[in-house]
Formats: sequence, structure tokens, C-alpha cells
Amino acid sequence: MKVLGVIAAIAIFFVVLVSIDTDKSIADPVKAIVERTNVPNSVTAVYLETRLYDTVFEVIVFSITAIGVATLLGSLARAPHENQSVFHSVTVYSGGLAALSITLFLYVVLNGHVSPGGGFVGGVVLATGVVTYGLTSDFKRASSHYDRLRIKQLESASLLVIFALSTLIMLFPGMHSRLLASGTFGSTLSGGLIPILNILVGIKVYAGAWKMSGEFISRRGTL
Amino acid sequence: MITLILIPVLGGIVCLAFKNRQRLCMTIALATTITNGIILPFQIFRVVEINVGEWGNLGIRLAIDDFAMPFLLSTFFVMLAITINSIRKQYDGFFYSLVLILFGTLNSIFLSRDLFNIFVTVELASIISFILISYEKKARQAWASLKYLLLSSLGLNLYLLGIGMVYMETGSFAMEGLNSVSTVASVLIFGGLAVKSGILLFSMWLPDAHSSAPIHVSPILSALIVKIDVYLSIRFVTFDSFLWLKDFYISIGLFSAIVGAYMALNSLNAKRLLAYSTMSQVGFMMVNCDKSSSWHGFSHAIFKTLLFLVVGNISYRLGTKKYDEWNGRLSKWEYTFLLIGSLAMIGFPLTSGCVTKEIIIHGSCCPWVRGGLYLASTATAVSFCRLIFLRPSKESTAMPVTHTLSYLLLTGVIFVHGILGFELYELEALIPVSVGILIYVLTKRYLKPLPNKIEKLDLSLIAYLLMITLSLGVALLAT
Amino acid sequence: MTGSIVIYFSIMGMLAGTIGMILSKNIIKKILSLGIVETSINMMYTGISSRGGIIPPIVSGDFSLSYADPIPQAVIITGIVISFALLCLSLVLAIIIYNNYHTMDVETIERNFEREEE
Repeated sequence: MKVLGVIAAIAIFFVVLVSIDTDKSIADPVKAIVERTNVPNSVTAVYLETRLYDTVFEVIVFSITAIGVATLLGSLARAPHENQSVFHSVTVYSGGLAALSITLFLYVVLNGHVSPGGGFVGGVVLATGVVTYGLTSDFKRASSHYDRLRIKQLESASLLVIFALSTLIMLFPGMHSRLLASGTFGSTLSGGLIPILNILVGIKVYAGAWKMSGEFISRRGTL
Repeated sequence: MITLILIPVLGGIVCLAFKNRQRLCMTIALATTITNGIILPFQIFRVVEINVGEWGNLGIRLAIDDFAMPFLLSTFFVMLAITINSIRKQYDGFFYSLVLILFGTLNSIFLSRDLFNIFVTVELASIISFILISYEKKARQAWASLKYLLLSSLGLNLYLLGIGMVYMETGSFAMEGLNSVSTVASVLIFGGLAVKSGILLFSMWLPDAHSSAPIHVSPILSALIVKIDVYLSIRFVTFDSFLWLKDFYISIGLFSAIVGAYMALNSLNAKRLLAYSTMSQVGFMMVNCDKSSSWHGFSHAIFKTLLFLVVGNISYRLGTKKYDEWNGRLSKWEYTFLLIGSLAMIGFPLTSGCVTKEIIIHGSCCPWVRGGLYLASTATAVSFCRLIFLRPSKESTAMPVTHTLSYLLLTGVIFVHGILGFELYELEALIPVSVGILIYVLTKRYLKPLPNKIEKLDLSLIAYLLMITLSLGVALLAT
Repeated sequence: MTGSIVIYFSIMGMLAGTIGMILSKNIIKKILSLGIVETSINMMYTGISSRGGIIPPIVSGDFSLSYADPIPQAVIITGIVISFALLCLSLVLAIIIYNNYHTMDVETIERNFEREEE
């Protein structure tokens, strides 16, 4: 019975492989996008200005999944964390990595519209640094920063502000065009509302990724 | 028009911020749904198109026309009935937030004209339904949700492959590009979305998921999420690359209608009976893909919600889902609403089910299709006679006010639609109904549940891939 | 030229992932095969965006170079986030099932459900 399924899959993808036509040339949209938004990085301009409607739904996907994971795992027992055995050199190196990732997060997110980067990349960079520290060295200390810096309230507030700013940009495109045109091309302070959206998306991605990983680690135990 | 999407999503995000305060979230949910209902009549009766941000072909387009109107109306009524009915059950704030965001997302699917935007919003609706199915954290619900997740993700990845081929050939993600695309891409787009419709061999995760879900989640799944693919099929069939699809849909729609009704006849569990009959009714909708399908989608959503809510509340009160054990223990009010829902389902005259079913049967192209649809109607009548011929108990218990209010709202819509659309040829619907009652009385003892081996994970995956190969063969032979 | 090779390899990757989903008996292996399918789709979109050229589309005043196409790259960022969310959710559901039945084998779980139904 499973052989039939394998034959069907091979047939479908063989037909797709034969009939794909990869050599058609299309018009180049980079000039139109960069001239209208006055921002050097055209990938950031596409996902934060041309297709902003999709980005709003994607941020909602991420927040709902983070809270959904926390709700579904809420009633399971937590694993004990007392003797997290560790090599001392690993603690030093992962602590340094976490500190370095904070600096890299700020650079990548604030310069997202000038050089490669943006909100999503920055959030993942910061989450990698902090989760590595929590997984290998000291989970209690890493998870205490969540309550001390009030990241939960910051996350809900940032979702509301992202939604409000995106609605403004979508309903009044003329105002945002004026804001965009008034900056100098290529400096950090240009780009209208795009850097603010990048910072908020970065905070959101970091908070969501930390929450998901933190829930898994606290239920199943560290290394 | 974009306020139809933004207001429920804003309500959902506010509920997400305050998810510990249960009463505040309940009031926000009710207020947002009623506000959306007030705006709705001003928006849906015109034909309007906007470009979001005025980017033309590089951006996203939203448009409304008369294919989408019945679906928008049905979303509002179903969400209002579920919100009113769930007041008594004391769900926490996260449930209301999920329901409101799902409301906004469904409105966005029915209004959008951009292929990648459809992917993002369909995935958001799927993720919300995965979380809602396993909301009570039981193992059976988690398994049904995991089956649905694996099949739906594979299907949507095939859809994404098809969209990639459309972009390679036309240079944009707008829906008008579907006029000039190759046949293989159109098969992938159709096959990827067919996982979420209720057609018989494509989506065998459906009976488990719809019957194990919590009480207020099954109506959302069966009345709204299944209609996403019905709407998108009606929209895609109007483009040039999809001409092979109209004939293919006649065959698989008829197959799904007849076999789905036959499987519904034989089940002992009330919620499974309703889930199989959803598969059969989707077959009805696919037989001719035009305006009559969207109106049947509207009326099916309304009476399926009524049936799922009544059956769910009864099984919660009595503790069992097998309807044989309900004999003599239902109260009079519950039996009345169960009777009204079943009569609307089998197509009794003066209800909305009769109006839309007769339009489909009279609009079909050939006599053998008409005969097949009559056969499916008779089989549906036999299966729902199981619920009509239960005996209510002699004593009368009162039903809570919120339940009565939601059932009366749905019953009102059923009868208003039925009376407004009444034509004289609908009295011929009494023929399948009476034949069905006769067959039920004769064969009451001989029915037992069919084996459902094909609903296991591996076999449903293999069935799905085989059906895509079949449609690839049909499409390549037709051109 | 490079774009075509990337697209062909990504379709073979999708085939491998689909066969993996059919033939594995363990839930975690099915979820990992789904991850392979989704990563191949991301690779295909990156290959599509290399048709106009392979220079990154970060403009510094000169519009005459042959830049890559920014639209599929920006669009697949959304796809990557969605596939990450689906992976997390499927692992949570696998944990709930494991805590009840203490096995990850698909056939044992379904036999348990059949026994409960009767």
C-alpha cells in the first residue's frame, strides 16, 4: 500500500520537473521600488512598504503561536533544574556570546533599511544568543530577565503599536510618501516609519522565540 | 471595505493583551461582532476594488463582488451565534481572542485578489484551528489535530510550488496571472487547496477532527473553514487555465455527495454523522461551481451550526455521543431545534436548505447528474431520520437563555431565507424526503458502522497523493 | 544558470521529504520530513529570485547593474516564519500524545484509539 504512495509522489514531481520553464525574463522592479520609497535596501522596502498587509498577518501568526504553545503546555509538570552540570569554559564563552548578540541585534535592526538585515534577522540573532546561554549555563538566571524587564507587557504593547502604525500607513499612503521623501538617501535617520517598524518587529520575534524555547526547556529539562 | 477586516483583528489583539480578565474579553467579543454586523450591510451590496497602498501590480489588491457576499454574511451569523452560546461555558480570554482574529482572517480571505496573500491568511486560519481543536488538551483531540496539521501543511506547500511557477511565468502574484499559466501549475494550485475542502478522498482527516473538537469549535470548522476552498474554487474556475476543472468537479462532486451520505447513514456517533454529511454537502456545492454554490454554502453554514450546537450541548449534558442512548431523555425545546435543523438539512420545503438545493439540482447540466443528486438527497434523508425519530421526554426542563437566543437567531435566518426564496417547483423536494423515511423505517435494524481504516494517517496521505496524480492525468489529457 | 540548478534540486528535495513522510513510522521523523519539504520550497523561491542577476538588491546610486529580484526573497521571509511556527506547534502536540501513551509509533497509537472507541 505504501508503494502506491511512493509511486504517486515520484510521478507528480517528475511531471513538475519536466514542465518547469526557468528561462523567461521579466521586468526589473528594483528601480521602481527604490525610487518611490527612497530607501537603499529594496528587500526591506518590499516587505515593510509594498506588501505591508502580509507582514501584519505574519506578526499575528507568530504571536498567536507563542501564546498557544504556552497555553497548551501550561498544565504539564516542570522538570527539576537543580544540578545543571556545566564546564566553566562553556559558561564564559556563552556569556560572551549573549553579550555580543545584544550589540549585533541593535546594529542589524537599526540599520535594516540601509544594509542587509531587518527586524526578523535581528530577533533571531538575539534569541540565539540568549537561548544558548540558558541551555548550557544557567537557565534560572536567563529566565529571570523575562520578569525583570517586563517583556510580556512590552510584547503586547509592541503588537498593538505595529498594528496601529501599519493601519495608518495603509489607509493614508500619501502621508507616508511625504515622510519617506524627506530623508536623505542612505543615512540611518531616513526611511520614515520603517526603522520604527523594524525595531518593534525585532522585539516581537525575540520575545516569541524566547517564550517558545523557554517553555520547551522548562518542561523537558536542560542538557 | 478594509474596516471589515481591521475591526475584528483589532478586537482580537486587545483581547490578547488582556487575556487574564475573562469578562472583559467576553464583552469585547460581543461588542466587536455586533459592530461588524452593523457595518456589513453598507459594504457588501456594491462592487468595489482597492489597491492597498496604491502600488499597482507590485502590491496587493482587494475586491468585493457577488460571489463573496453570501460567505461574508454567513461568517457574521455563525460567529454571533457561537459567541452568544459560549457565554455560559466560561472560556478564558485566549479563546475569544482566537475567535475574533479568525473572524477577521476569514473576511480577508473572501476579499483578497492576490495569491500569496491567500497563502498567508489560509495558514493563519489553519494555525488558529489547530490550536482550537486541541484546546481541552485531551489525547484524542491532539491526535486529530496532528493529522490535520501534517496533511494541511503538505498541501499548502504544493500550493506554494504552484504559485512559484505562476510567478516564473507572469512576474507578479496577482490573480489575473492565472489566465496564462501552464496546466501543471493549475493542478498544483487546485490540489494544494483541495486538502482543506471536504471532498471525499482528498481530505480524510475531516471526520476525526470535526467530531473530536470541543463543542463550540466544531461549528466553526464545519461551517466556515471548509468554505474557504469552495469560495476559492468558484473564483478559480472563471480563469482560462482552469477549464478542465469544471468537468472534473462534476465527477468528484457527485462521488463525494453519494458516498459521503452513505457513510453518514451507518454511523452511531451523532457528531460523526454530522461530519460525514458535511463531506456530502460539499460534494453538492462542487457539482456546478457558480453562484448557486455560494448560496448553498451560506444556508449550509447556518443549519450546520444549529445542528452542531444542539448536538454538542445535548452530549455535554447527557455525557454520551451515541444518539441511541438519547431516547427519552431530551427536553422538548432541544428536540424542537434538532427537528428544525434536520428538516433544513434534508430539504423540507419552506426552509433555506430546500431553496438552495433545488436551485443546484435544476441548474445541473445533464440528467445523470440530476439522478445522482436525487440519490444523494434520499440517502441524506435516511441518515437524518435517525435524529428526527428520537423521542423527547415527558417532563420539561428549562433551557438557558443564552442557548435559546442563539438557536432562535439561526432558526429565524433559516425560515426567512426559505420563505423569501419559495418557488412552486420546490414541492417536488417532498419526494426524496418521503422515500427516505420509507427506507429508514424498513431498514432500521440492518445498519452498522462501516470500517474507517482509510482515516488513519498513512492511508489518508496515500489517498491524497493518488488523487492528485489522477487529477494531473485528467488535466493533461484534456488539453 | 545557477538559478535553474537550484530549482531542480529543490524539487528533488520536496520529493525526498514527501517520501519520508509516507515511509516513516515515528511521529518525530514525519515532522522532520515535513521540515525538509518546507526548506526545499524556501530554496526554490531563492532560486527564482536569481533570474535577473546575482548581485544583492542593495542600491547605492547605480541602477544599471543586474540586481537580483527582491520580491520573492521578501515574500519567502513570511514563509520561513510560518514554517517555524508550524514546527513548534506540531512538537507540542507530539508531547501531549507522548505523555498519554508513552510511545511514538504511529500504529500503536492508532490501535489504542480503536480500543477506546469500542
